[in-house]
Amino acid sequence: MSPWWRHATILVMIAGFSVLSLITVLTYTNAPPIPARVTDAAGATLFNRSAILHGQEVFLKYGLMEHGTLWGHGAYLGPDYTAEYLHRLAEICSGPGTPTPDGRASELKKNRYDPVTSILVFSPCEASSLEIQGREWEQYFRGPTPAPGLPSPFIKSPPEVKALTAYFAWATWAAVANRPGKDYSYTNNWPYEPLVGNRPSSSTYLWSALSLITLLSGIGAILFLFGRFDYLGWGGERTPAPFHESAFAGWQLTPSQWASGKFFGVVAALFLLQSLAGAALAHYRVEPGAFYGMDIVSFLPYNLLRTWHLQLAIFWIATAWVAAGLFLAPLVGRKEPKGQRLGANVLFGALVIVVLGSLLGEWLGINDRLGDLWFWLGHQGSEYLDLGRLWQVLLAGGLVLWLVLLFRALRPAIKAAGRSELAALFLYSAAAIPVFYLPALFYGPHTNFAVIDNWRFWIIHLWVEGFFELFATVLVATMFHQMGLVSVTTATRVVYLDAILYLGAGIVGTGHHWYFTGQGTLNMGLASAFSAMEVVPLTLLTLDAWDFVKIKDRPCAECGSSFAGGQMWAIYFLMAVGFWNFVGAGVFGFLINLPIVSYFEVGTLLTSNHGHSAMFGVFGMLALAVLVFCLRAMQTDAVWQRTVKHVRIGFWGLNAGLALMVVSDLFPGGVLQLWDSLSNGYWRACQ
Amino acid sequence: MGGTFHLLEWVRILADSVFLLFGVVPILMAALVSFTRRDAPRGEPGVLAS
Repeated sequence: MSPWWRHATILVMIAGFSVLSLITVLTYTNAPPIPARVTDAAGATLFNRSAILHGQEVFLKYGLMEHGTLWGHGAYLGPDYTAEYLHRLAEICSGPGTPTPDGRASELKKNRYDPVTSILVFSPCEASSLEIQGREWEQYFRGPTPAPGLPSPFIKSPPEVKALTAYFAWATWAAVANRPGKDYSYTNNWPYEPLVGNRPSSSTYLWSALSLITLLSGIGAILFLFGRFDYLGWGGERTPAPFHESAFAGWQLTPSQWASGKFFGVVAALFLLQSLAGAALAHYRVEPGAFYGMDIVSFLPYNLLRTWHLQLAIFWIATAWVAAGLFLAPLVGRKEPKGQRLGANVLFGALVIVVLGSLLGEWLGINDRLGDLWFWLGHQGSEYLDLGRLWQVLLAGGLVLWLVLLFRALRPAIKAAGRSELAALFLYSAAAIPVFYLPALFYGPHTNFAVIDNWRFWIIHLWVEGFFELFATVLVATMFHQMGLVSVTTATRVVYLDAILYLGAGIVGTGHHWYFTGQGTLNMGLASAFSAMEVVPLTLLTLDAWDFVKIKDRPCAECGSSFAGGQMWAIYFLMAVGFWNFVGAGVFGFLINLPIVSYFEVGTLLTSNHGHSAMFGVFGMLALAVLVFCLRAMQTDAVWQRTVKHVRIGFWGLNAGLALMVVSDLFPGGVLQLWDSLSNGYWRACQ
Repeated sequence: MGGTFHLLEWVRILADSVFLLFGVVPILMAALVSFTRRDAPRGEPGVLAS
């Protein structure tokens, strides 16, 4: 195979990360400044930098990003705290004796921050709003009527609520006050609030339109390439003779493969817990204070359940992939390294400690029982990266141990002629997962929220829309090759092709999460153009689906049996991966990807619609595919016949249930919210 | 948000029930049954496969 596949992949990564690094450097300079003091017009101090940072601590410590949103990012039951504060600010500034609507907008949009003195001057109505809203937020978090999904009092001390109000006031100022010398705010005029003149900026319209060009050009180019080079994709070259070289023929399970079985039991148990938490979360939206009449708010508040829902999703999917790696690596290497089973068992113990410790820590942290250790042991406060810093370090350590175990098992294949490239890609794509978890360590509780969100998506986005996709492709390629379904050349080429397509668009596309979180318009332009192209490889999945169908049914000319053999249900789950990847990531992802759509819908159920169909549909289904694949390989045909009926029911039940979720609630509910946002302002869509 | 929006949330209970009862629970059972009935041939550490 041409070395240019490898060279092109490396070039794509170098170019992509160069641009993303530039955007990240600019984040530090473009982030809304945190003033040393905020004063009223007479010069009296209203609050200072310490209060803002303490307010951010309160916001993170109590897991409020898992209750509502800030700058559009977070959970779905509570309000968007910025939009809510801004709307109340507009209402308060609309009282008797206050400026006209035009005057009010120009008053609030005027930037009174002095970078030399680091003093921000609030207008009279901003100052009075701070005082009024201080009382209102005190009632919200500590009053007799509990906030949706939270017990009362939730925040333990009034000074914490006061600091939190200062934080909201700062975040809202950044959302409405114009950047120096510009006609849009630090958040590119997000959220939509017509009362104060917060409307989409010109760039938001412009880049939405221009990004469509890259999408159509990308699809056209890839269809041309697939037409011109018909060996691309899983179909591979037209091999005249079949190559029934299944790695399972005569294979005896090694001790570490056997040990990986218990990981899959944990996977299924965590999946059940995660789904139960999700069902309870959905019910919170219709009964915010109870669960079919039962008071669960006091011990399972919404933000804790939401945290667990997300963390358990990451844990069970990651555990399945870790176990799949442990299972497949000796098969690829054709040899079991000594001590591999011990390593797998140590890894299992570490996994149990991290899962139980972090979930317990999040419960203690949200309930303010960890004192100053909340950031290290409790709830770190960033959606998806909620676990305390200590648990993060342990998780990263566990992933490194996994990587060592993979290396030991893959080493014979990496040294072997003909198989080395695919085995090396297996190792490299696995290594990318812990490596791209490191940005979780690049910020602290006092880092500017714009910077926190930057690093947060270095992990989340680059994982789910970059390296998870790559690792998923490697897993599928390895499984197909081990089953004798595709040649090693085809498998390797598909991995490189996917790497080029996914990473080429996905790395710079990370910035589509930062349209409205304190970044400049450079990011909006680049991110919208590249993230529109993220749809291109997803479109190819429709071709993949036919390849899967064809190779699944392909018989061996020598023995007459199906290549897929007893692994039919693993392949069905892989087909589900392709289907949901196209629908959830491609269609629903693109729907909310354009800056102008994202402006009105971010943080609504349309985001959740994309999240469920893409996250579970793709990575969840892949985790279940490898679970079925590995467990099937641990059983003889006779025993498998007794368990396959559960798999069959589960497969159709999961797909039907997910489709019903999307059709009956997430998509139509999101559209209703989008309409409400367009008609009444963003704040109301989050009510 | 109200009315229709909340109605949709109630309707979703059907979807969640299908997902849980006919999706997650059977997969859990399959995983546990498979795990306890593993009977494929086992080899020894360091032994090359055929």
